[in-house]
Amino acid sequence: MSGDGVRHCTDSLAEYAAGVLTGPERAAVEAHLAGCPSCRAALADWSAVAATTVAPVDAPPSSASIVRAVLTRAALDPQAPPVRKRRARFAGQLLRAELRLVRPAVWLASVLVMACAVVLAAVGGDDAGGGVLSLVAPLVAVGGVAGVYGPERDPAYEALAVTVTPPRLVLLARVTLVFSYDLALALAASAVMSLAAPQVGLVDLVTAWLGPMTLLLALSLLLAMWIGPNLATGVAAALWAVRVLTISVPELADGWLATCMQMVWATSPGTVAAALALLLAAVALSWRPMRPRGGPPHSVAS
Amino acid sequence: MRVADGDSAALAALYRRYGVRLSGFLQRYTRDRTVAEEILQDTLLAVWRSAHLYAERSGVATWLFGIARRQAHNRLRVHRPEQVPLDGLAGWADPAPGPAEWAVANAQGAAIVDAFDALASHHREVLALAFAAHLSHREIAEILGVPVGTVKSRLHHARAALARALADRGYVEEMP
Repeated sequence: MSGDGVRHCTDSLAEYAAGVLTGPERAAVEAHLAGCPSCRAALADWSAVAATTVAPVDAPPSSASIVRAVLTRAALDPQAPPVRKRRARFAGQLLRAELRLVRPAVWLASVLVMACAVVLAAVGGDDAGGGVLSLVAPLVAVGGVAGVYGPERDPAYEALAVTVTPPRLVLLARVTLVFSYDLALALAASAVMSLAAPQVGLVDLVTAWLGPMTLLLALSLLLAMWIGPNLATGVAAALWAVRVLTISVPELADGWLATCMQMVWATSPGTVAAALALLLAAVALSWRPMRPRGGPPHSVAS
Repeated sequence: MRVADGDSAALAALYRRYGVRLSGFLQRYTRDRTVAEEILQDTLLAVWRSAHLYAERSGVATWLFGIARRQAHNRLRVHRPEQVPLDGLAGWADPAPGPAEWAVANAQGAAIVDAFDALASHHREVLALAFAAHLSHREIAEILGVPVGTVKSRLHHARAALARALADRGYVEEMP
């Protein structure tokens, strides 16, 4: 701006004195200053102001100490970041992390039981598929839920006990994984069965187990969060035993209990709604911190 | 911006890059080293929590100093800094003064600090942003939310006020 030698660079002197100008701007000011005593005098004034401003400034704290202090405050102060994107990413990270922590036995046992069911159905004949799956798939799901949580089943239990992620949220993440897996397994088993016996429709097969499986899993999940995984598995298994008994014991097969069971353990709008309600209750329960210090910074609750 | 991903190393890198300028701005603006350090922490904490809100359209420096200025306003509103007694260098006394401190202390440093601290807060602010934070006039304008012309005129007024304050304290040098 001063290249013409007529216009003074008054406007840029403060920035020049502050050391802000770079490249061509800086070169232009320097070129003008070389031949302009009045601008040099003005620059001296700004340099004095700059020196006065920065002279008594103390050195800042070290980066290590201040970052430590800031992170400590971030962890202690339960103000969670308000942005949804962060929640979604956290959910993804949690699922990935928990995937590594669910023991291989859970995956293996589920697939073995499901394979047995397929074999049984094949041996039992064309019409056995739906019945076998409707009995086995829900049990596999409950077994999976039982296998993912608790001191004796969890390799990372000690670590989990001291993390800020609420244990119920961890349970929810694992159950989501296990349920997705069981869903895929049961679908695969149904596909195999309908391929082996083409007269049995895939939709019929899926309807046979989907409702009961979802309802039983939702029930055992809610119970696991409420009264703990061991008791929950026991209660779910007992309920399931009642259902199996009403089918297999002739004396019970025509009674009111059997009618009730047929209504409850079916794929119908009612059971789906009930399962959803139970799942929502479980989710609500999972976001309630278990310990007073629960909440920061990973907590999804706010 | 990696700080947005919860990367503490990125926060440390950000601090290594801007820490001196941030700290300088806050020390001169607040006139108190302890308060300045608290606000520096507040600022980094706010950065840590709001890095995901950082918009690329503004530079990192303007974003950072904008946060620091807001944090300073928040805290100074509570602390009422205008009531802090000014007793020259005493507030800045450091057990181990560096060369700069020695030079200033030997050359009527008390009068200089006293004069600067006596300035109105909007004058201290613009001087600290320009000469301690080393921001361009355009960046300062963005941080203060005023036109660039206003920044320039405010700087001139601040310079004049500083010269008067120095003269009042018997500090004689060729200040305009």
